[in-house]
Amino acid sequence: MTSVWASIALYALLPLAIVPLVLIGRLLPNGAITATSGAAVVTLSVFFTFFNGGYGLVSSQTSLASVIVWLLGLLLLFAAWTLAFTDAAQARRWRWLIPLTVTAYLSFAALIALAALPDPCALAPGQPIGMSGLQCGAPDQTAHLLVVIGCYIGPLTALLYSLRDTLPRRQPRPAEAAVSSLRAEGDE
Amino acid sequence: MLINWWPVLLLPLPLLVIPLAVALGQVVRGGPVTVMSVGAGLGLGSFWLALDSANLFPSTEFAPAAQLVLWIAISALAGGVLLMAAWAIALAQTFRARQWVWLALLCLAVYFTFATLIYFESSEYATCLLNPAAFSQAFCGDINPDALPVFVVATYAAPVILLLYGLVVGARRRQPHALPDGLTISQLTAEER
Repeated sequence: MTSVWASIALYALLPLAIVPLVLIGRLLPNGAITATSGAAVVTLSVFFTFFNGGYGLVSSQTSLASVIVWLLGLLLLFAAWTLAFTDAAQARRWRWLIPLTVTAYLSFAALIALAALPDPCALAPGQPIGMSGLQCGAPDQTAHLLVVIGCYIGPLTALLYSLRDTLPRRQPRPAEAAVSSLRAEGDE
Repeated sequence: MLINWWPVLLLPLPLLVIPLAVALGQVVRGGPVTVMSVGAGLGLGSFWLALDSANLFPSTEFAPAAQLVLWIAISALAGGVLLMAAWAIALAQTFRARQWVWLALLCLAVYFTFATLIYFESSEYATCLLNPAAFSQAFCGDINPDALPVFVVATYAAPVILLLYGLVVGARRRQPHALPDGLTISQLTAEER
């Protein structure tokens, strides 16, 4: 019974994970969005690198830590998207609304695919699965690539949105200015 | 392709309530936080209503209708999503405005609400608490009906605090700044223009 309460207390702490990030975000441009989207990218990278993210969460090798990291990635992505979308809507940056929504949707779908794959072999090349030690066949590279790109595309778009003013951009030419090649004139 | 893409593509659809809530928040006093907290309260209320007549653990006593399971899933998902969105926006606002008391209140309320929701979705306690006559003692064990108000308060703690925050802070933002003594505002007449 104690362990049940402990796990409930632990999982209920997850939504509070965005508190320190928003605090850190006060030091960054467009702070909260940058911090949460950056943290979502880092969390997803940790998930894929250290928790065998390609496996999904359905195999017997799933640990509590991998579930928590996956949930954290989901929550951070959600927070980043919500903050970015609200900011874009309030500032009337209409052209950002559709990219933010579409990429976030794809990311959520990819994260759900990771958690709810009916067949763990779909993304796990050459790994023994389950009690019987079933050996997976050739990996589905297309599915793997789609899921990995899908997971990252949402937080990266939110990050791009938050950093849009700090990115270098080409200044438009004044109306009467023209560009011509110096060499062409010198040759004549 | 071994992945069944349909459930994967359909499950994130309740997330689209966020753009809707943000759009409504542009015209409602208190902004998106108010709209989202009301939506979260409605979603969680619907979740409670559905739990009242369903057993979430069909293998133990009886299988609920598929429509009821869908209702429970959509209510919990939409309520949870709106709650989380309102929480993220309110949190960023409290930090920006250095409203530390609100921040502490929000953190406590969100923690208790999520702990209650996780508990209810991971055990049969809610079903037995809401509908004790329908299930056997062997299934439910000892249930204390006096605990019901505590669980209701804990479930609604976050939506209510977020709603209060949205209304109070939203109203404060929309109040015009007081003019210095001796100054008044009047409409320009056509001649003055």
